[in-house]
Amino acid sequence: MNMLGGKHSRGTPKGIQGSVQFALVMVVLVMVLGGFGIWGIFRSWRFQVEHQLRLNRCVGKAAHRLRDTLVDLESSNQRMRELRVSIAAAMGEFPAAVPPLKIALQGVAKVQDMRLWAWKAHQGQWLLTWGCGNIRDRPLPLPSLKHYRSPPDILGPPPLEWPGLMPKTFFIQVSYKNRHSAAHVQIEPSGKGGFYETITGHQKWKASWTSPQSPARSSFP
Amino acid sequence: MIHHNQGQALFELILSSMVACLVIVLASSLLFRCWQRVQCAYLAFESAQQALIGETTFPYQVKVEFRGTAVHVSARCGREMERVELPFLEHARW
Repeated sequence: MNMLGGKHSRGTPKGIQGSVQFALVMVVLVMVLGGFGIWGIFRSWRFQVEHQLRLNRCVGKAAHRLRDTLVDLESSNQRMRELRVSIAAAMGEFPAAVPPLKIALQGVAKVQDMRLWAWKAHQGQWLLTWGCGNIRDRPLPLPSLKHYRSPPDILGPPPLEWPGLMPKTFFIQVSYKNRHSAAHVQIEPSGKGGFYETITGHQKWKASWTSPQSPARSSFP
Repeated sequence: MIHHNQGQALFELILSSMVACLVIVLASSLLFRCWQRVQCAYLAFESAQQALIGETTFPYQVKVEFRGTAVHVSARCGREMERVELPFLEHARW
């Protein structure tokens, strides 16, 4: 390393001294550039994994929320049907039980309405925060729950209904650059439901990861 | 005098080249190990992610198993081995 300092190489022909230093500088330069190159690839892979996990967490949370909402609406609908049967029976045999049963029925209906409003608010928040909070995220809008309630009859508020045939699958997706995360919430395939589900028509909703839709559909319409 | 200086320059060149080669070999070995480790981690993660969404074909270094509530993926890249476990959505917790 004398040649780097130059102090002890007094009298060394300048051509030789320069060539040695040049070679060493080149070696150091190549190593530094190579190191930065590899470090850049490491960083890029790390960011891809980080973004994928961020998207997965966000989409997963939304899918869980949708699944819980659907399950809750279904189970409360079932509770309302049972309460209405009880009210109808009590009207003839035990009229004193009708008012508390009606209050309970109205309470369940209110909770359902609040669940629907909460989902609508979540839909709005989803759009305002670009799905997962990054301005470069490209989310599909969250599925709309089109439940409606017919006007109350003599028994009280009826259960929620879906106009026409209710979809069996709801899809959620967010993309960020070349990373995508998608999930669907769907009715568990038939055959897995128990006796209770078969008799009552109460279906079990299940969330699972799925492959993303084409990039053209992964942006706002 | 000039002859003596030329000898010193040659000696310095050889010595510094040896040191440089040693550093290059050590650094390359270290970078290669790092490369394999990171590549393996990335490969395992990508394969686990693909397995979760229903893909069935994976690189030959990758072994995928569906066990319990998650997909377990192990990838071997040279002497490095990486294991990744990603949960099914129904069992994911955040």
